[in-house]
Formats: sequence, structure tokens, C-alpha cells
Amino acid sequence: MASSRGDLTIADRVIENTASQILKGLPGIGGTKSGLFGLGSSADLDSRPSVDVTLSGRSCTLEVELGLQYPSPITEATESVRRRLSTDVEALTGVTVHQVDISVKWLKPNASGSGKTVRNLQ
Amino acid sequence: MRRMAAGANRTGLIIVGLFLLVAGLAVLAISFGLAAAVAPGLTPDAALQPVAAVFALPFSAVIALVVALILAIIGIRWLAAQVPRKDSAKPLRMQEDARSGVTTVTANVVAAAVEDDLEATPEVVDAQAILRGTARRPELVLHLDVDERADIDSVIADVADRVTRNASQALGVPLSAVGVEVAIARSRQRKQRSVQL
Repeated sequence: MASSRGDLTIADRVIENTASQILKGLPGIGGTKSGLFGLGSSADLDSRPSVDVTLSGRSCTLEVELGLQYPSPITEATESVRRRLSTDVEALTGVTVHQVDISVKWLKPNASGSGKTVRNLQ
Repeated sequence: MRRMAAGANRTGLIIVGLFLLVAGLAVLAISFGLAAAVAPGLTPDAALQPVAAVFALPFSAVIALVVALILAIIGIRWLAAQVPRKDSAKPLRMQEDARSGVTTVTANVVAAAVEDDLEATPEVVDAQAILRGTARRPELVLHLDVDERADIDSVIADVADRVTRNASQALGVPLSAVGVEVAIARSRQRKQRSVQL
């Protein structure tokens, strides 16, 4: 029996971090870089989006806060995020993703959030 | 850019005007002796005894207080309505199938992206955008502060072509209306301190 070999427990934080890391790898998706004590936070395409998970049995609902590169189509980009999270989170953790609610927090052109070095002209 | 309370003001003035008109007609009716048919005591030479009797009632002070309170609330609401409103769109729902989750974007997020896009135009010193309407029928209201030496036609053409195309692409539907207000800025306020290579 499988139960005789022990239990496997996955914390909600693991699912949140897994989902967040999946999103970090997607082009044109970013998060919010937090400042000191939450002040001075800024949009950043290189930051990980924020993910909050609500577990219900062996399934979960994800609430994602992210930013998108402007002017990529919001509906298409977020549907792509939804599909990717649904398949990859389940594949990596074994937890079924029931719903993915997405809140788009910012839209930025690529140049302002790519994290490339901005050098002053000498 | 912002909407004023012109409609509410007109409605309020009509109500106040009608009230004063009725009160004036009533006073005229009393002075000409026409009100005596309806209320026998109300003749032109009658003393104000019936009116004084009403104010002499024990609860008349409470009634006056309640009426004053109601008038104060109406006055405060009227003052609040005078503040110009942006009337931005409600948060847009942009998912294909709500059963698999909802996608929410606020009007301010889209407006901020449009403002950044507008300010990428070299001649635009400053820009404000308001997104109105719905996810299916979005409307953009734009205010541009343009450098005084700029070619206004080319700025308008850039807005009509690039900026509205980008907004439409992001929202996934064509814009149902775009309003542009152009102001002339005396001098450039933004000074670029660095360049991305």
C-alpha cells in the first residue's frame, strides 16, 4: 500500500512559489519590485508576479497579480498564463488548478521594464 | 477631460424654481383673495394667526430641525456633485471563459500605459488619459500638453495612428471613441537625463 510508505504534504507556499517561478520564465510577464517597507514599489518585467493560492482538497484556485508588456493583447496574454499555470502547476505538484484569477496591475512598454542597464552618456 | 455636474445643476435649479413659483403663486392667490375659497381664514386682511399657531406647536422646533437637516444634506450633496469627475470605466473583465478564472484590469492601469505611450512622442511634454466605456466599447479621452514648437498635425496623426492602435491592440477591441484635447506648453518640462542604448 502506498500509505504505508508515508505521506507527502505540499504547503500552499510551495504551490505559490512554483506558480510564480513558472510565470517568471514567460516573456512579457512581470511583477512588482517591492521597495523598502512596501514603499517605492515599481513595475518590473524581470520580477516574479505575485501568486496567492487557495487550496481545496487536491485542487486549488490561484490569484495572480502581474504586469504585462504593452501593447500585447491582454486577453490573449492572460489566457496563455492561465493555460500554462493549469498544466505546469499540476504537472509539478500534482495539485489540480481549478481556476486562475488574474489581476493586471500594470502595462509597460518593454524598454521601461526590461531590467537592461541604463547608462548615462559621458 | 473631467465631467461637470451641469445636468444635476439644471435639475436642482428647476426644482427650486418650481418651488418658488408655487410659493409665489400661493402668495398672490392670498393677496387677491382667491385662497379664501380653499382655506376660509386666508384672506388678504387676515392676521397670521393660523401660521403663528403652527409655529407655536410644541414639536415645531423639532420639525424645523429636521427640515434644516434635510436641507443641509441636500446642500452638501449638491456641493459634492460640483467636484469634476473623471468617470473612469469600471474594472474591465477580459477573460474568455469565466469558469476557468477571471481577468481584471482597472481603467487606471490602461490609462497609465496610454499616458506612457503618449509621452514617448518627443513633442508631448505631458499627457493624461481617461478610459471610459466598457470592455467591449472602450473610449479614450486624452489631454496632451504639446511643446509650442511642435507640429500639432503630426502629433494628432501620431495619436490617431500609433497610440490608438496600441490601446486597441492591448484591449483586444477597437476603440469606440477617442477625444483629444491639446494644450500648448510654453517650455519643455521633462529633461531626459539618460538614454537607453
